[in-house]
Amino acid sequence: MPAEPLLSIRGITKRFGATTVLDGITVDIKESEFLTILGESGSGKTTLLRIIAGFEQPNSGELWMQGERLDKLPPNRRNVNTVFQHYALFPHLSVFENVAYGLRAKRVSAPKLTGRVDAALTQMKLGDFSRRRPAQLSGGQQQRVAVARALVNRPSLLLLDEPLSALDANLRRHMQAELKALQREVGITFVFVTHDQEEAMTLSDRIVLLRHGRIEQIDTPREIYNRPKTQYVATFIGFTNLLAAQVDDGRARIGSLEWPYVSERRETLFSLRPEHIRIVNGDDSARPGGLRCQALVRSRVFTGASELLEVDCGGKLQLKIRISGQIASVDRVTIEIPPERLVPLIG
Amino acid sequence: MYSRTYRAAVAIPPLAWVSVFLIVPYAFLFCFSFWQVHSQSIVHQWTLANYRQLIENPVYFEVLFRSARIAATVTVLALLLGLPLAYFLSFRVRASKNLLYQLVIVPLWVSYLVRAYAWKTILGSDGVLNTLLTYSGFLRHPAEFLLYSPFAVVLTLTHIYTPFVFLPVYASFEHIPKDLIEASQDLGASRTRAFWTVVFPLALPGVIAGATFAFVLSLGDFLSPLLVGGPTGVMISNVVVSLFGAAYNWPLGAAISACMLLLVVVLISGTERLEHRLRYRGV
Amino acid sequence: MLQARPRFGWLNIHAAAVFGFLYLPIVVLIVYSFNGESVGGFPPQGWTLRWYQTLFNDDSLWLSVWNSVLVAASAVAISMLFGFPAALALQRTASPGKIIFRRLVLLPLILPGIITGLSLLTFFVAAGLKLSLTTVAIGHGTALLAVAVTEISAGLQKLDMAQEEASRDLGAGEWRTFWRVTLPNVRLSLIAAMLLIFTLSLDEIAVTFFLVGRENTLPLEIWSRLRRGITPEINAVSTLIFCFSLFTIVLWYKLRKQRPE
Repeated sequence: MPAEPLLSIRGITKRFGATTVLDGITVDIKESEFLTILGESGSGKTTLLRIIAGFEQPNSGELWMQGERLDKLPPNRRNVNTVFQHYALFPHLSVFENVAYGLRAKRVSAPKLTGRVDAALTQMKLGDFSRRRPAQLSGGQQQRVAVARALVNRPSLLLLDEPLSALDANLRRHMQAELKALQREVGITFVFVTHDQEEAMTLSDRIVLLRHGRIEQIDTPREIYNRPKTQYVATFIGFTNLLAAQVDDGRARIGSLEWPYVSERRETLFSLRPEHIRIVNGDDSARPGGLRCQALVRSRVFTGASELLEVDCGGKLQLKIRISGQIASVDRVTIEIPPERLVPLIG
Repeated sequence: MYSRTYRAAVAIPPLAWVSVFLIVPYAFLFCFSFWQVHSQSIVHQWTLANYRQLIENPVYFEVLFRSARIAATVTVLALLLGLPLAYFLSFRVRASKNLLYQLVIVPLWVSYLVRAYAWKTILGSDGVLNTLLTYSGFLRHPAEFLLYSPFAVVLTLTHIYTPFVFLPVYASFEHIPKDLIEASQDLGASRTRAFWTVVFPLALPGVIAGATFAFVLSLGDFLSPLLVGGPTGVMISNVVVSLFGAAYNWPLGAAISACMLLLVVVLISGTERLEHRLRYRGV
Repeated sequence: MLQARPRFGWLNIHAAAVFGFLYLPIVVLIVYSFNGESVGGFPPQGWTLRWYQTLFNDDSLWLSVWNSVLVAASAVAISMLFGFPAALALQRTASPGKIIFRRLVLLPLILPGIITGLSLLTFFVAAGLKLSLTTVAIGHGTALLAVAVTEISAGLQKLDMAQEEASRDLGAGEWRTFWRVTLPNVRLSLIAAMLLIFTLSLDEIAVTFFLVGRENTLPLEIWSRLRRGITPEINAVSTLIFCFSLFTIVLWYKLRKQRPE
């Protein structure tokens, strides 16, 4: 039974001067989901977040949350809180006062306030730091304060504006795990903005991929990876091989490969993930429908957990293959492609 | 990275000039304050008589007190005028921000004398203000107190020093990262609360700097009192001026100046330390 | 963007009032410089260029203008000659006495002019120097040294240390680095500083008051006339000073904005 969406974004358009930054964005955000808005710089992702927070006004479109027009409310009256990219901690206030800020604004009574702030600090493992000033904390600690400060207000929606971009790789991975666990624990909807597709894949229940102010695809990480809709999505998320195949008479052809595919179009682009291509011994039995061909190994890159090979299948077909582990150093390989892994792309 | 010759070459000349024309003169001022004047000439006898006179004769404290009061009034007024204006320009204006900022600076560059003189024209018995008030029927006779009074001095000095207060306050408002203000709104603060809990505390160093500037410079001002102060608007520097002029008692004048110098230095160090402490927790 | 809805409130009114207050005397001055009637009085009667004409023929006033220019030029020379190295010393070298040095140099900025003026007066008297335009020039130079230091320091700060380091890395000595790298980059700051000092010196009255000899600078000349009684010429010359100041500040601001970022 489909539940009522928490936040309904309808036809949001935003222009800055002559540039259209967001063009008719429509998406429903569900309760208790971890949603990531993914995009390159200039895709409009931050603008969208700021519109939800209330720091920008859309030129047209509506935001509906819990039966109310959200976009008509000023930011301080929305039940939405933000974790800013550079944390925006108040430098002249202690950690405690930073976290208490929102509660004080709502005039929560003193004993309740202290209780809630202490609980939030403990939850974010900041109990020892309540008297310190932000300048005395490390980047990771500051980030936690920013999250605590937002969550203590029990918002319906938590917005996170690339909060991990300032952290180094290890800390980042650690914080990703923490945030994911936190969201599960707290049960609040998180809307997370990032340009890092790996981060998006790790954290999200669903991903909204933005490009030049328009939605390319909204899907779960698994679907968006396995069934990208467009070339942009296929190449943005992870590595892929793009095969420009000729379609004729119910079959698609490229190089020496051929597989059944019905379409009106003469030419179709297919996406094939490197790890879906197998390397087989000549005498292995072919999988049903598996497409085989001989290939010359052009280059190999050892990346630790896997090896990336570039092979030439003849007929201008160059493919990248990812195999886990290593294979012997050979010049020729036989590859096998499962046809169901060839994903047709629109656009 | 720099050789000793270079460092000497850049440091010594200014140091020398400052020693000769700043430190030594201050020293001389101090020396003079310990001397005395006998029958129209300065006698180099070392004595504390001048300082004693300052403490014992109530006149000097009165004038100092009145000067401090005027300076404080000017400072408060300049803050009341300059601070909201700085806030307005920094947070409420987008399009013509630069132009308006320059418009505030322009009066600073117009000659002090010119501006003080203009007030004389405005405040006189047949000046602009009085004529307007009598014409419109507000007053039957021109208001005498407008000119040649402490009121006129305060008005003129406020006019002069409001831009002085505006500048550092505006600068500190501009320095506050915009995302801090967005954060305060995001957390539910109204504009007023955001101002008092975030904006003002972070701008405090600038406010203190501006206020100190206005207070110290007003305290030591002697031109406005001479132009528009009249007999009731005499300030401490006027006393000094007359002691160096017609009243011819340089040592006594030097003593008052030395006290003023000390007072100013103490005040500036104090506010500077305060500013520094407040700035530490700043961004 | 903080608030999309423009609100016309008391803040706007307050700002307008403050601007009005700041510009009222200037406007009055300009209007009255064309006043037909001889003295004050409101409203101004008639339009005349008479006062500007009288001004044109006023020799002693022009003499004082010339004196002011001489003094201002000297003040610029002194301030820049000693202020530039001071700025370099403060920005580029590290030494223990830096803080005290900076505080000392910047003191005349915040000290009331009377103290700077009087202390120099006692010094000159004790040294047996007669008061003249030279003493005035020395006074201005000392007082405005702080302005030179502040302006040039700001310009030096904007100049990336990395450029100077690169120059040294490539083999250039300190002086060559100074000539080829530092100087061209702070050129705009230098010009802006000179402009500022020149204008401030032209207007200077507090320090000048105590150091002037028989020859007057322009502000002192106006001052002595004011003591004798108001003549409408003063309005005219004030308006001209205002226009000149306005011109210089626009120039200075434009130069400042052009500083290499």
